[in-house]
Amino acid sequence: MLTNEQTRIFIVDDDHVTRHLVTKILSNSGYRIFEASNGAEAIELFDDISPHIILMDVMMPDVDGYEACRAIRKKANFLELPIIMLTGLDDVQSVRTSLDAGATDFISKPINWVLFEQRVQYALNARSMHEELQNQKSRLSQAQTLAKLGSWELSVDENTLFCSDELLSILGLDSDHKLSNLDDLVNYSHPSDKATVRAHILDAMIKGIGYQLEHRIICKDGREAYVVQHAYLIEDRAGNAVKLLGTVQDVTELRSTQATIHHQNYYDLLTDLPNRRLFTEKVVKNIVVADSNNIVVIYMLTLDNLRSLSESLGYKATETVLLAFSSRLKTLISDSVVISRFNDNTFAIMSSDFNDFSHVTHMTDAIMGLTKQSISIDTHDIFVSASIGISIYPIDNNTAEATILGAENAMLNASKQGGGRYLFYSEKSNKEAQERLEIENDIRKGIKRGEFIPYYQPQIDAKTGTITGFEALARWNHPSKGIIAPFYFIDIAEQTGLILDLSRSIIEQACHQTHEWAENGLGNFMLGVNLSIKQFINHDISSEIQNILHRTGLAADQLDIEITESIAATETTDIINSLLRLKEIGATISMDDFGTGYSSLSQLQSFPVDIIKIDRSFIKDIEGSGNGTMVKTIIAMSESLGMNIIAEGVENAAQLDMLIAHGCNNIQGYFYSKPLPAEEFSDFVASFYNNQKENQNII
Amino acid sequence: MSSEYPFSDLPTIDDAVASPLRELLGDSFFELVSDFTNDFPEKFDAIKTATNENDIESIFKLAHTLKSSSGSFGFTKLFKQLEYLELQARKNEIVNLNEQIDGLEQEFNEVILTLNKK
Repeated sequence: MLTNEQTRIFIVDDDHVTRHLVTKILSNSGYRIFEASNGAEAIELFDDISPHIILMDVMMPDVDGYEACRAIRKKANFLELPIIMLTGLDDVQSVRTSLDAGATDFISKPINWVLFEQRVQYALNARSMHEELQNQKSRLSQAQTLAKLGSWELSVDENTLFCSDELLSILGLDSDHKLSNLDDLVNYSHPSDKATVRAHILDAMIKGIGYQLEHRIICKDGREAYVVQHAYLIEDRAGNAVKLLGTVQDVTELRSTQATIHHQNYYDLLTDLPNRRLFTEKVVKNIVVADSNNIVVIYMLTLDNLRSLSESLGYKATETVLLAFSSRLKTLISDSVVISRFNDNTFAIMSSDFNDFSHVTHMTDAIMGLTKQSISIDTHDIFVSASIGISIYPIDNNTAEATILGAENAMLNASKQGGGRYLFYSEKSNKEAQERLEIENDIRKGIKRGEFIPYYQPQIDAKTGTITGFEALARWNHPSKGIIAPFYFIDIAEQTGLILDLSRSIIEQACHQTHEWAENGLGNFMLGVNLSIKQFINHDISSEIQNILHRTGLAADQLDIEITESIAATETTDIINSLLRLKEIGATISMDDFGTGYSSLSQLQSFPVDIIKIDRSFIKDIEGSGNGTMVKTIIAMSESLGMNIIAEGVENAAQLDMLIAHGCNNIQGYFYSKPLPAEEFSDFVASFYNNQKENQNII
Repeated sequence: MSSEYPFSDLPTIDDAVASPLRELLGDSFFELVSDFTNDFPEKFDAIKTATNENDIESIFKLAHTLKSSSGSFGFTKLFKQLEYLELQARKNEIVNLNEQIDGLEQEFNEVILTLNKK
């Protein structure tokens, strides 16, 4: 706002008496007054004086007030410069002519001096407010242009849209282009973002929820740009939605700058491979998510002869070799394999998201294979060899940093030993990896050769003295090592996924055998088979079982599927559905090792279980400090749930008596028999019933 | 209220206009009034000359100018007489011109007299 002293008032009147009066009165208030005695003089002096307001007499010789007003209006617009006509011609016509000529207002003569200064001040205030508004608008517009910030305003009832020039410019449109409704605006969104943008806008209007949304737009010239859009709702006093105000900021440049900076920070300039920093971050991330079954393997690789190459062919040559070798390495990249230029001469590889240990051998072979072909530099054919160090999380080291460092150390050792070789982090690890690998390959071969066979551990109804069934247990009939118990191979089979083939083979053999014994008249035994959680995940176990039953001819009601508590603990609808299907075809479900895991009664109820198998550890406890409290509890609980019970690992008469006393008659354990190979089972049956007879005879 | 020529019912100086002006201007009031009273005879002579030459347009312009100044000071009767003349000149229907000239001269003297009294 101008002070009076800064304000220039231009009085134009041919009557010097009036002029002097006006001058005297206004200069008393501090205004700076400029005078002209006719229209022509006013036009001439206007530019020099550049007044803030003009007081103009209408009736003047030659160029009158109307004409002067029209001429000055061409130089200064209505709101910037008030022109007040002083008119004695107090009729409607002269007022209209004044306004038509561009006058802002008029004061009729004789002038009312009491109100005069107020009239002038009022006109000056209006001018200042307009000027301030203009300044603000232009500052805002400049700021918006700088920030590439466009804005829009949607009137909710009428669906009419107002867009700022900057928004039009973001969309690549001329400023005279009109976007008149919501659709006009939304249509500039990228086709895949359109629905989201519309949903956000509608949500904002209906629910009054403002939003911030980053999305793509397609500009008029077809260019794709990224924008951040904010919007909020203006409501009237009654809470009705009136207007939606939105801003749109073009962040394309920002994003691409950020992307460039990000790329420079995280990628190697020469090879465009992830650098040490990004690689380390990725290793850390992978180790965080790796579950107990997964391993993360770090390979560090250095090319052996780079130094001599640099000495003979120069630094450029080593770059060429590194670049050529890095493109070969890139062929190994996959979702689970990350390759990095870790430092000048070292590449790092991370392989994760697998549990098949043979993967390590495959990967090592693949990397070594990359060195087989020569690299051409000018006329030279260069052969490179590599030293590779391998460190495995969590076998060798249990943090990301240690695993990386371990691989580096192993690489240095491989290099010291002459290069062209790979070494694991530790001798122990080298040996274990070798052993594991051998076992894995051995299992694979064993499955193919049918070395995995079921043993059968009888289950006896102690009350009736009958053999009711048996649990089939896997044994490895190893050609050189003899019969091997499961603990030696089950974990590796689980980790490598070989369990699927192994288990199928055992179940199929057992079903076949059980059916044969039924056909031979040895007895209709219940066959218990164990399933691993792997067989429930991404695997249609119920169809597989049905097929096996179909092939072997075994009646489904002779089959009992044993699952462990850990399967129940990862309870998913998939697992429950598989179990329900197995029950539908007539099989029963047992909960193995009950009581050792986290199963609760409520979980048990939601699981379709028919039989509870009491774990051997609780049976042992019968003679221990607990006096079999757990056994009693489990028996009582199972009865209340209407489930059958089998006691596992029963080894002596005391345990048997206690179990019978509490109502558990189904017994499995060494007290009756160890697990038997098929060929010994019929002998067991015969001798069992012979003993029974003898006992009865004694009685 | 519409007065008829020669507006003998109107005051020579209307205090409702003159007093606030005098307050606004302070001592300059008299300086500015002298401006008018010094200027008036010259313009009045010009009107008389124009009358002799039957120059209606000049009569109109002169009457207009004198009218606004006299109105500004609150010389109401003089203002009305000049307005009356201006209006007739604009319509080019001047009647009793000589009578009006005499009336103006008489009223101007009355203004001077009244001012001197104050």
